[in-house]
Amino acid sequence: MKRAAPIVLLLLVACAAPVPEDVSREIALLPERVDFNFHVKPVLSDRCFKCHGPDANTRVEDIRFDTPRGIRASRKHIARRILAEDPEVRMPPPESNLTLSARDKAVLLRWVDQGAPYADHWAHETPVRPVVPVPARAAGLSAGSEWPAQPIDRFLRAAQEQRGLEPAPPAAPETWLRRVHFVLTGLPPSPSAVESFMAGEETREEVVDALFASPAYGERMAVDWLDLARYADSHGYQDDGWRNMWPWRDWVISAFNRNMPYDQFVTWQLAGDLLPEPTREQLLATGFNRNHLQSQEGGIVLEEYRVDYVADRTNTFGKAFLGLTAECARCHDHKYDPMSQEEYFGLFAFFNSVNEVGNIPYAGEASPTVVLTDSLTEAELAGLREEIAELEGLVDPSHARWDLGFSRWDAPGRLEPVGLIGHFPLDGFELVDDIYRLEDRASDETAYFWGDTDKLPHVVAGVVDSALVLRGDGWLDTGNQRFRFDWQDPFSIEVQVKRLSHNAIGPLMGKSGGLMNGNRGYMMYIDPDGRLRAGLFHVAPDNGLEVVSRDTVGTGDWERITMTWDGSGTADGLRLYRNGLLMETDVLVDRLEQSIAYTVDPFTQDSTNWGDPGNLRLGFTETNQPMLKEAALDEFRVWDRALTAGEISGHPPSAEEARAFFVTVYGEDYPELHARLTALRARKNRLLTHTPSTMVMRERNAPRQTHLLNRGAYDEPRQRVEHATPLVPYPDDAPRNRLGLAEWLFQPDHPLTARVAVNRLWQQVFGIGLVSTSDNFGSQGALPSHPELLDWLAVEFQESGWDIQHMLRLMLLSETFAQSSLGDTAEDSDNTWLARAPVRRLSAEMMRDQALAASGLLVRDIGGPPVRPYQPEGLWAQLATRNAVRYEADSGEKLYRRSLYTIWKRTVPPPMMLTFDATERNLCTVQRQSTSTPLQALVLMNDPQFVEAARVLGEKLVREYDEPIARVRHGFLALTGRPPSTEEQDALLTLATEQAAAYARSPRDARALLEVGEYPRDRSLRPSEAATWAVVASTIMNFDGATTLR
Amino acid sequence: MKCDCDHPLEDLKFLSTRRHFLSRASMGVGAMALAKLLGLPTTVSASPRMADPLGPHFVPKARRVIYLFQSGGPSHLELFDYKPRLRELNGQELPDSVRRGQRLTGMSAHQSSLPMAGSHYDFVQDPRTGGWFSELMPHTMSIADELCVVRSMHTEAINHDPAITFFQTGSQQTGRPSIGSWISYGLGSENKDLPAFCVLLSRTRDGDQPLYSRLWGNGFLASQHQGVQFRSGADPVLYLNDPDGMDRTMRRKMLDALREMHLAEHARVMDQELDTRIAQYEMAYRMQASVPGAMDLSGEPDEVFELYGERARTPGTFAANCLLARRLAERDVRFIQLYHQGWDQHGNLPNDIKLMADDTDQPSAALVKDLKRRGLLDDTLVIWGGEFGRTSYSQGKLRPDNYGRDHHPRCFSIWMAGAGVAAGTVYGSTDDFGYNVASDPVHVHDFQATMLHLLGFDHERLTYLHQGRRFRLTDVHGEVVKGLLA
Repeated sequence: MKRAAPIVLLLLVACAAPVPEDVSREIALLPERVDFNFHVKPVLSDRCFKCHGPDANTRVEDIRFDTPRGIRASRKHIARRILAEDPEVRMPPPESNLTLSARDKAVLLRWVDQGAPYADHWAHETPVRPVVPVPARAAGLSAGSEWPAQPIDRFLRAAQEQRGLEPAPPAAPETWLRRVHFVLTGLPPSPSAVESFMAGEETREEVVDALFASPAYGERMAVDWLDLARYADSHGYQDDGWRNMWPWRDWVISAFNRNMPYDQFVTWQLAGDLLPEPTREQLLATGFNRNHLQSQEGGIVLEEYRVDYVADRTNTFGKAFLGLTAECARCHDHKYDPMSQEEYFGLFAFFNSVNEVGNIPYAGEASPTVVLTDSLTEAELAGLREEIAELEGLVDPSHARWDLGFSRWDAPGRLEPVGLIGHFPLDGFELVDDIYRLEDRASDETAYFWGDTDKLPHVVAGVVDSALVLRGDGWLDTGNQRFRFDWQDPFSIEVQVKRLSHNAIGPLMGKSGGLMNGNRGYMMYIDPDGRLRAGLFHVAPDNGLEVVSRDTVGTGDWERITMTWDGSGTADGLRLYRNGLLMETDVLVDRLEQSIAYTVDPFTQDSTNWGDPGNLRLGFTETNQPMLKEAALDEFRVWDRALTAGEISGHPPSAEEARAFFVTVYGEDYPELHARLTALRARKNRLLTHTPSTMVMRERNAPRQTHLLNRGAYDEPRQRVEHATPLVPYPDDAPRNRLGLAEWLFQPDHPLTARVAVNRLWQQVFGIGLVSTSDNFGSQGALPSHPELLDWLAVEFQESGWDIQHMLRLMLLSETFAQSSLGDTAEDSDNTWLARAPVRRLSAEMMRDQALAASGLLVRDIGGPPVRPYQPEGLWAQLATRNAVRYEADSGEKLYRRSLYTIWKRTVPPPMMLTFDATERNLCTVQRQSTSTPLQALVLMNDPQFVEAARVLGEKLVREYDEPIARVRHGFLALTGRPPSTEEQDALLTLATEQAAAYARSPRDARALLEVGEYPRDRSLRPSEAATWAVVASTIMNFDGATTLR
Repeated sequence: MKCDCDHPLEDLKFLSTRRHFLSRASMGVGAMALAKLLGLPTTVSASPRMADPLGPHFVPKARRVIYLFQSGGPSHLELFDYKPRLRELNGQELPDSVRRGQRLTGMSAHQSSLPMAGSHYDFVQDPRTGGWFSELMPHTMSIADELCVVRSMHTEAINHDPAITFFQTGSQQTGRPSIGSWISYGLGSENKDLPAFCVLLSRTRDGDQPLYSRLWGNGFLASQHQGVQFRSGADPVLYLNDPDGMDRTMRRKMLDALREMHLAEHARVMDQELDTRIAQYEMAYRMQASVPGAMDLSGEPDEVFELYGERARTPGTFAANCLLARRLAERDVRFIQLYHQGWDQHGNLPNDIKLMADDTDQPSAALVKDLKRRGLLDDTLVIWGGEFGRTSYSQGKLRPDNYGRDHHPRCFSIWMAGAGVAAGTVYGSTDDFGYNVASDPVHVHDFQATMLHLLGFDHERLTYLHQGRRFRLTDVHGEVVKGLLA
């Protein structure tokens, strides 16, 4: 089949330089026509695109090989440049550190020879269902009799036949059973399941269906999804506090167990909050995009980190759903794939309007959140809401019940405010015990100056007597936890302000523990444009309410600013007055759900704040912001009522104002009614505050504008960018938000969505994807080994209604999956053609879960808060200094839960898991490594979890079987899923004899071994015997037959 | 001086380069399994993801590195960068012409004034080298003739997490391999009984900036290249000890049975993985003996504790870790990474930095002296430094005897000593305020490139193909700083 003619032709093309012999040899080995995608593109992409590819900024001499036009323009130079001896001429140039092999050169030469045709990247063409092949050799034979019926097998068989490979014979039934158990549930088959399957009591179909029905299926599927979604129980940057994301993890398990269609599963996670009238479950699903790392480090630049969060979502979207290394295009146009930097930020825009802040709190879930009320709580809340609404109607001044009283009341000409609990005239300081104190005329307490005494406020003439001019680096503090209101408590605050310049911006007053507590409390700011902004928060910015005035506060004049709060819990209960007149305001957020005074630690259920919950202060709310300066303040007052408009105006009241004042001050039984209302609101508040919440996605009222960020840096915004998608056009009628993005992703002709997803399922079943780089379907990714099979599966997946179990069933019931893993590895060392079953080491989770299951220790509860199994002392304490410093192992059942429930602290992940190649859960990962290290041997031999499992299994063997042979057989079955061979049995029996002798000599050692772990030892057994079989069990646990799927 | 390792690996002892090893490794199946465990490619052609050739690219000066990382950001202004002018200007506002728009952290950005603060501590000039050292660093000054003090380091990040991550992985974002992992990947291990990349932690006191284990993570490299934490206490490497009730004889017998089973399995399935499995358990068994041997300081004579200071007798201290570092270097561990926490002096700096200096000055100098007299300094690179410097203005109120300093990326000092380093020199300088680099700037990537150069690598060629891109420690930056080389 080798042809000489093309070489002759080629020499004509390449006349500028002779073709070296090694290249000629390679040319002879090439197929007659080289394929652009399969032969040429990988070479161009890897060796040429860096300087002659999609990235315009690094493109040299405007030569490019990623477009048909670019190729046409430069193809005539290719042969000469790649064959040149002269390093000045040769491509790639020496300084690139890239070289072309003889085969690479051969490919390029033949391609040029064929006219250098271009084709779009294979993965960007919509998959079309290919015809299932009838292998050539079978065509003439009795049609299909010896050929598998399953399309999957037929595609594979055809490829094998082309290469002269024969499929391996079927594996033993117990081998198949163990494989399918681990693939679908991550757990070993029980010895009885093995024996009944070996006896032919079940069909494969029945086994697969039973495993789909097992809740362990959802747990197994979730493990891969948690890697992809970078799920963890802590925030990840150095401070690394806890987050309450396990409800999302449980949702993933349950969605898999319900076999939720993939399109729905993904759409809910991307955009559940944007669905019409989203359910709690749909909101919960959006936690997917909040799983990324978040920083709690003091002093960070908020925007720097917020941009990183958005970038992480963008990158995860690219990798998880498009097989695209989107992150490469954050700082510059993608070097290999058609994604410009502008397109990156077009995608970024979809994730950019979440109502969040870059520095998340130490105490309280980072907003946005959803409170995870259960049906019981919901019922209680519904009752409360009803009662509250009824009382709100009664206390409303417009209610007829007040008519009589009001008609009898003789309104004064002016209404004096009632309910004063703090009055600070701010006339000057009195120095007492080194503290500059300020008088409070409403109490015996004093306020004081706190800060740099060189910046002690100046005393100047005020509205009434004197006033104080704040100068920054200090504030006026009303003292320890005075004026501590929760949201159900009405209150009012007033201060006279004279801005001396436009620099007088920032915190006017507030009571908050700062960013460490999510700005929990209440506060008022002067924005840089002079608007007033005020809010109450549980965790800012989303779990709270905030309004901003339309009018601005000028400079140079005294302005009397009053804020009233009516305790209703909604934004229209927060009012701002300027010089007695109600200001028009816009609502920034109106979603206060929980307390503004404290939060509840989801792990300990304790009411808490991080450090100082903050006093009511003038000129300061939190440490990260400049303090107020160049502002004169006077006559600061606090009331424990929502003042009515008439009290604030200073003018004779209107009838309506007078009535509101009358009702709230003099209304008969108003105090009792209002107290009942407040108590009900407090109950509602408490109920919601004490119900755990979890992070979700929710958009800001006003979307953020997205800009291209030069070099990807937060502080270098360039042109504005609109929502847009790379590679595939956006549907015209889809909304430009995450919901539309999901629609785009699942439109029927999308070339990547189904391929990428089904390839991951293939990877789960066969160890390696048909595209071996399951995270990269771009130019630099691997080509599919079986492109037609991949497309067939992709179309099948879509047409099945995105049915995950349908696809897994097809793969698991294939003959390919059922064949033996033994076979000649020389022909196909990577096992690309699957003429034998793949061999894989168990994952970290499977390894531990198998030991627990085999010993009978495994506790099969599904979901719930993370657990803390055994861990060596001091691991956390050595690194952590503030959050989660001490690891206290659980006891009892929580020691024996499945590994996916083990608490994941990102800065110190469970060591056993990392040793066995679990991902760190910092970034989206869809492929784990599989390594062999001595540390793995140490874990399996010595980690108390494994030693305990071995000794409990040993005890069980002694208890249940008298004969050593039976003990070996059942221990072996439990851990390897098959009976032992004679050699294996002999080796273990010999070991048992040796150990028995050793432990007979040293019963103390036997007892010591049996004391490992918390599970009580079986005292009915002879220690030396139990310890002997513990060692045997441990040996099997360390054996390849247990650690490897063959 | 001769190594007193428990299990010297005779057949690897004379192999100076990785390629040499590979050509031998390809000779036998057992060696191949071993190579796999040591993180070496199992065929000479290696995996397509790996750089080709892997390295070293030229004759290395350094065979190993001891990196004494000072976490938190030690103030250059109190330790290595003598600024008499700053003292004169004490209390004056930092001029905008000096700050030049440098962004500040949220911790001092709110201050209405940025008063300059001179060092509370005096400086002394070393007569031999002419270099200036703080009175807090007398022991370090005593080895001035071995040091190359770099005063013109600069970085990009202004917060701890990104800054340390940047220093140790070449990127502020998480997910890249750490320096030690790159070295392990590039050079493999020279000791089959110990990991190539060991990590030791200490802190002066609780409550300072936390650390995180991904600083010695392997990123996308194979997990053989993960740093292995060596801890003080009974189980120096996690799960090293056999469980109670199992002695070494029993473990040996158990492993013999396991080996027999693995050999039988090998005969059945004909998979090379089984060789790896056998080697994996044998290496673990040897580690169980060699690690405690390396960690056991009881045989060290008193004069060694005089050299490192009495604190070296207390396990888990920086001093003890310095001594352990020497012992691991003797055993040819490639990359020995120490982290010492506590340098984050936002306030109360004069008092707190003294505590830190007291804890670190003597042992750091002792390590260099000890390596020197054992002949190990010639091919061991020692590095001392943190993630950034500190501001020349006071964070918080400047008082006559008290002040603090915020994080500062524009300039800071580190020192290097040993293999191939220009000994007895001071490199680069800063302005009179200790705020900007005045001459010979050394970016973090330049530092990394230089370190790789000393280890025999062209930093542009030590790459790993991940997700279609050739990644390197220095990203797409970095130049070898010739002035740091001997």
